[in-house]
Amino acid sequence: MTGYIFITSLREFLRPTRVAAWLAMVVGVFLIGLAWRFLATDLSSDQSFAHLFLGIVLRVTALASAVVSALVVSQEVESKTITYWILRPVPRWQVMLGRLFAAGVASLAIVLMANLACLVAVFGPVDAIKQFMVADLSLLALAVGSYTGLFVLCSLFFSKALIVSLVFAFGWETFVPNMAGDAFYLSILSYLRGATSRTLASNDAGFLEILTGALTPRSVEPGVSWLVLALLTAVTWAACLYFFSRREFMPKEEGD
Amino acid sequence: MISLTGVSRWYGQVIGLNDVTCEIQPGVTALLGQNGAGKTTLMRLVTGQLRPTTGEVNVLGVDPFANPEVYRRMGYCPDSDSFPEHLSGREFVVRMARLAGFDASGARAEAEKRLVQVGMAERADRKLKGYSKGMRQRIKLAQAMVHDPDIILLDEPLNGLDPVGRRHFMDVLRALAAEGKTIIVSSHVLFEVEQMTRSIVLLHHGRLLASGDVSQIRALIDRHPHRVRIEATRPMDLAAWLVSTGVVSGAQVLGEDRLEVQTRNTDQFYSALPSAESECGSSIIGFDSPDNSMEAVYQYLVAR
Repeated sequence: MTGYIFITSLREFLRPTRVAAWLAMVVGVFLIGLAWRFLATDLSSDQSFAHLFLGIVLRVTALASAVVSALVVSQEVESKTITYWILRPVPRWQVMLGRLFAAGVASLAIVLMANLACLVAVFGPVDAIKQFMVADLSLLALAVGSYTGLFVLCSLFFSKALIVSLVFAFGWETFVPNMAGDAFYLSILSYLRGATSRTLASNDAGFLEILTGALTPRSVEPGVSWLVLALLTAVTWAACLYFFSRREFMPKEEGD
Repeated sequence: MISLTGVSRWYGQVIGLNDVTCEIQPGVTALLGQNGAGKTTLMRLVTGQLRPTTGEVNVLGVDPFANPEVYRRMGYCPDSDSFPEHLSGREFVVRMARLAGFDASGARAEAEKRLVQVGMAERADRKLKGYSKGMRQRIKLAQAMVHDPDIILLDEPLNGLDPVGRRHFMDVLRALAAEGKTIIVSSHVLFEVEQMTRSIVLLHHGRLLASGDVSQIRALIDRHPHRVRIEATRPMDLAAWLVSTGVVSGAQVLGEDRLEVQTRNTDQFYSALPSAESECGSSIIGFDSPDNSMEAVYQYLVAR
């Protein structure tokens, strides 16, 4: 049953109108990549891509995860169609698992398109594939897992989960990694930055450096980063399964 | 089949349902009450969407909250007019069948059967967003029935249906009830409910005012005299005799062949009526009680 729910949900998350919107965003990412390639003439191609990966691709990861995660539960509650999912003879955790996987796969597909757009922009269409790293794929998968788990969990407790998720993705994740002291440990982006083998050329306080959370000279060890991201994914997904099975879902505006 | 024992449900400071105890058996039962009476709260408690704040809800002997075993035998037609609008009616009902455990071909067959039953088979390939209110109600009923449940809960199912649609809908419900299914229909339109069933659960401001058969409930209302209209010859003589026997507390002659009496003891009254001709020479042509209507019971109980 989880497989059926996964397929059904994936089709829903990747409906043509939604895919068209994401493709438009990917085109935008490609244009930013092209502009960066021609503006950052003092950087090597690898360094240029590292800036784009940390500053743009990881942000797209947070954005895609936030938007797609909102479709898992929040939108169903707001449109009052959650009833059709929770009143069927399927354990709720199976419904959540199928939809979480679908959200993860949909988000990862979007993120990989954005990643490919940056690679093509920097290395050109021929070398883009050669420059693709399996480590990047693993990291992006884990990034999607962490953000999706966190945002879906958030949607089980907040009625306007998309807003909360976007504030986290673009507010918290912008400022906290750059803060002095140990605050950067509270940001997912810090661990993503710690886990990737892509490194920035300098710690200049440019726009992309702010986006990448590179203002603080400290970073998390790669091993710790991978472990924390894996744990965060496991814990948030498990919490989603648990709380989805326990919580009441009720359209608030309806009277009786 | 369904029982609520001392069930209350609070929404923060607001009470949705207040100490309700009742049992619902197979057949059609109407859940009656004005807007805000607690009908939808009761429906959501029975369907396991909500937990009671206090008390106990039992469906088929178990707690229904998030219970797949209960949902295997329960279908729910929600009040809200919400669907995955990008799907066609058929796709939606097939999806609901798949989620109920049917394989792809079984789900299509079951969906087709239910779409025929609700009169939507020929229009089911259009997108749901293009459906009229009546078509949406039919699709909601089809998805509620698609896994052949023993219990079907319908929250305001007749909203938006035209007269032909209502009649068809009621026929479907009667057929389901005849199969021994338990059907709960919530409504605030008494006229509609009266055509479907005599069994009611009456809610008002979150409290249970009455449950059971309308006439039984009416008989229990002893503070209020029961009115009976009688068509008979010599109504004056009949009125005098009935008053003298003490089985009526008042009588009013309404015309040459009609009178209305009030009685507090319906059993004695109806037992005495056949002897009227021999006792006072009045022939009774017919009688009926306006107080046996659901409207009268409802008005009395709500105004009490």
